[in-house]
Amino acid sequence: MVLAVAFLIIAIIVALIFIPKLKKQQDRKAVVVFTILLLIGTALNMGIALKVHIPSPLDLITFIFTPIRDYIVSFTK
Amino acid sequence: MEKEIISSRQFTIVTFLYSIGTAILIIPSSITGAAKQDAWIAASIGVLLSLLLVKLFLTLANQTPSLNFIEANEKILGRFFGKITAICFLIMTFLSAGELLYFIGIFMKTEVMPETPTLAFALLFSIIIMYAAYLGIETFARSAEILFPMFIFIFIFFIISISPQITFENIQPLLEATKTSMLYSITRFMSIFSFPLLVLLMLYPASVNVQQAAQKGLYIGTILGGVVLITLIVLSILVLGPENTAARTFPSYALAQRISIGNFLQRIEIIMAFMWISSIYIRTFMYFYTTVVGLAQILKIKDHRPLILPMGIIVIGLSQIVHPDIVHSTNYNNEIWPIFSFIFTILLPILLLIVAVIRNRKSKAQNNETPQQETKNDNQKV
Amino acid sequence: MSMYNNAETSPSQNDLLYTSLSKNIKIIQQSLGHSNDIIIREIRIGEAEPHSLAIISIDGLSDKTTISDSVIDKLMANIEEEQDIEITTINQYVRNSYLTVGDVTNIEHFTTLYSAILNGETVILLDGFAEGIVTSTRSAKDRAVTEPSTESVIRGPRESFTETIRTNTALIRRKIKSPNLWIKSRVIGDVTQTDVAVMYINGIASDKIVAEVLARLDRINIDGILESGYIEDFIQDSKNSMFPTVYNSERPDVIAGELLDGKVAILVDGTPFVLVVPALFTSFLQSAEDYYQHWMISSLIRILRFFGISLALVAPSLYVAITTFHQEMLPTPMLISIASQREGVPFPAVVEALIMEIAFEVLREAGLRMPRTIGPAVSIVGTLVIGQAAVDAGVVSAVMVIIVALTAICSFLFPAYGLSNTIRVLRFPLMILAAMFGLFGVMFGIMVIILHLCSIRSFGVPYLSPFAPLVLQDQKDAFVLFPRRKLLTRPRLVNQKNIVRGHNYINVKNRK
Repeated sequence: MVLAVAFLIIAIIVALIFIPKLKKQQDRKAVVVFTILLLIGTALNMGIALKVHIPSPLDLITFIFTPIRDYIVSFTK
Repeated sequence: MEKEIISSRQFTIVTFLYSIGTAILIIPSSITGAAKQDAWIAASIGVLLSLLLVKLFLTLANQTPSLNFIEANEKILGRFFGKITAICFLIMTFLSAGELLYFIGIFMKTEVMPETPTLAFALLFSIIIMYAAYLGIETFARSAEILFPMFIFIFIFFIISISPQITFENIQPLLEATKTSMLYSITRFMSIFSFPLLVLLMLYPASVNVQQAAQKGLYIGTILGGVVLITLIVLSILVLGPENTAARTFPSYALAQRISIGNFLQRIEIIMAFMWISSIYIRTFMYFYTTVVGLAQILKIKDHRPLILPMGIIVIGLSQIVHPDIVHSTNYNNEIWPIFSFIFTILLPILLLIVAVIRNRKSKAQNNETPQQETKNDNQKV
Repeated sequence: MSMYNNAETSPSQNDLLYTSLSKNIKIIQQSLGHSNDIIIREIRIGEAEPHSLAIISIDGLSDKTTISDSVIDKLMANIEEEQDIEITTINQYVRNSYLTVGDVTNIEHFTTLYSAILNGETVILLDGFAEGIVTSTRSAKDRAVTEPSTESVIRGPRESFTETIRTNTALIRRKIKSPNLWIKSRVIGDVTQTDVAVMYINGIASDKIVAEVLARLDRINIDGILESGYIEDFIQDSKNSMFPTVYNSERPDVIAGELLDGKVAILVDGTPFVLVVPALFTSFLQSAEDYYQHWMISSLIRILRFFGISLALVAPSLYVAITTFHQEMLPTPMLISIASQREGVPFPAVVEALIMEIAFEVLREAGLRMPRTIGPAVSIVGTLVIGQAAVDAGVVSAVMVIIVALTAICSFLFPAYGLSNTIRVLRFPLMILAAMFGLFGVMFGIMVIILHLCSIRSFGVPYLSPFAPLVLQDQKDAFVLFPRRKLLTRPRLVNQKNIVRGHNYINVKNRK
């Protein structure tokens, strides 16, 4: 619980420091991307801190590639 | 973002340490499991085959001399398809960066400091990676140059200290492994050792000052990295024995634990750990840097540096969820990763190369690109 | 050397001298607040048509003997004999024929007049002329050239710079008698008007670096420069780094050696510490004495220095890390002995280490400022009380005292003070990291330091060259020292121009 709050605070501090700096550079795309990534990162880490079960992206990769793998292995049997 | 240049010597060192990467810790176990005491033969064949891979990568890179890999994707395949393949490539590197952070965490927690949470290690390590990414490639290359002599020194010390404990029977009988298991071993070896060398195309040829020497450097770095790995595998088998090696998750660490010099210098494995922390640092940096710079280039953002912090935060989170336990990780690395990486580090470059050559021929036929064709032939003298 | 500030146009007040002598004198007295060290001597010259002259100088800055002998005496003695002196030409007369002082110039502005007398020169004003004559009468009162107080060597010259910039440039010229040794001067500091001189050997030093140095000096905008450290701050490449990128020294032979290497020296009036740029990590590793002794000995001593400094940086952290996390690394007998020593200590290793280190830093700082009479007594008290009694009281363990003492001594191994200060400070974060994360934390800290060092440049030259980027050619003078006959080339990244030293060496190929 404490860890999750810590992550949130850190994210807010980062946002407060960096977004004005980026806004000054007139790069709207960068600001948008920065914010999106920051949100994803914070959400992810807070979820981990709160022991929410987040599935691993590698499971998705595994799911996609297992049939291929089985296919290749069947060749070598 | 000004163009940063690294020297060919720095490039060689980066290749060397990069190719060793995590292999130094996990390869002995995974390939000994299949090939048993012939694992070193599998590794040697793997290293030789890797040289062919390097030639493939170099040929591809020379098609687009001043662009790095991500930009080359877009140039060769066109804006839409190029972006798609580039994004898939970046997903691979991003996930790998998370995997490596997980790896450092689990290694330190399992073997060295069991009471510290893996998040702590991942956090510290990612701070180093983020700081290095912020400082840029030049600084990173210099830091690799500084780590290199320390690495070599510790490695030689390692070999010399562990050699007295060799028992030659462990490596016999030779050539007992079946063809299938050899095939599996070689594939697994190469998937961790040489398939990811494609990522180095982010550095070459865009950021290297002398192309010829850098090409040689890529070969030399790969060979040297291979030598280090083969030596380690051989030593593992000779000292620990094939069953022991296959059974442990980190056989090199077990090797280091056995070093005992004059009954005085013992249990110094944490100093050995410095060696693989260095190689993992190089590899993690390359993955992370590629992802950040690649993302910035795809989205046409000029300066990639603001993205470092949020992406670093995501990577830390990734490292905690990417494998729930070491069994999952071993399974993934042995079964799925070879196929996943094959598609994006072998098939994709081949595709790019074919399309690029076809395009070049087409424009050459229009009598436009003859000079480029000649320079392409020049660059291919590898 | 007469250097005058460019007359700043102040629209409020007329800066030009008036023709009336009394008016000029009144204005001068007013501007200088009737300070009583201003000497205004009025005399009349000429028999037939007496002209009034005023001789203005500042007591203490100007040389009274020169003034009375060469200026007043000559003026009063000779001119009396002239019968008719035309009014219009008396100015030139006085200047060309009667003054026996070197370096005479004309001035027309008040600001230049003030600048001149504040530099110790004498100004002669004539009634009826809106011009003044400046003669160079600077006082030669100066601290004698003595032994350096901070960098002493066993073998080698014992001169050190003084506070007067002219003496310092002379000391360097005595070592390098080449006409290519050039000096470019500046005046920096609006209120202090400090003389600053940039010296370099033309043809060896890189023009780019010289131009960059001058450009950075010209950009300084501050009211006062009291010491070369102020300038150091302004011209450094990376403002935020704790690592010094400007080298300084008190010794002319060191500076001369650096000039021969192609570096640029910056001298500041008022301090004996001369700056040298570009300064690399290796500059701080080397001492002048290395070159005066046998190369093998110097190599070993350099390695010792490097080892000692590394120890100073990591010894407390290693102690904390190993005793807290990695006890298995110690050989068993040693482990038992340390454990028994630490048994009575109520604090964890890191608190113990922090207490001792902080106590030592306090002692060190206090010792610097202590009057010489009580100094030794207090340091004895310090050693005995804090060291021994603390151990006996069970506040710290004996091992800790040893480590702190070792660290302290080792931190003095570096000849250059600036870098050892940095190491002193960096010890503390490393200790905290070691307490939290063991050797992994120490590795993390060292990695961060290495990355930081790799990113710093000093005037465009990477800080860690010739280690990274690796320049094999320069390894002969970096970590270890090769025999003098092999030191044939200059550091490659500092200057690309004149790489080969001397022309008497045969078979020297200019390796790239």
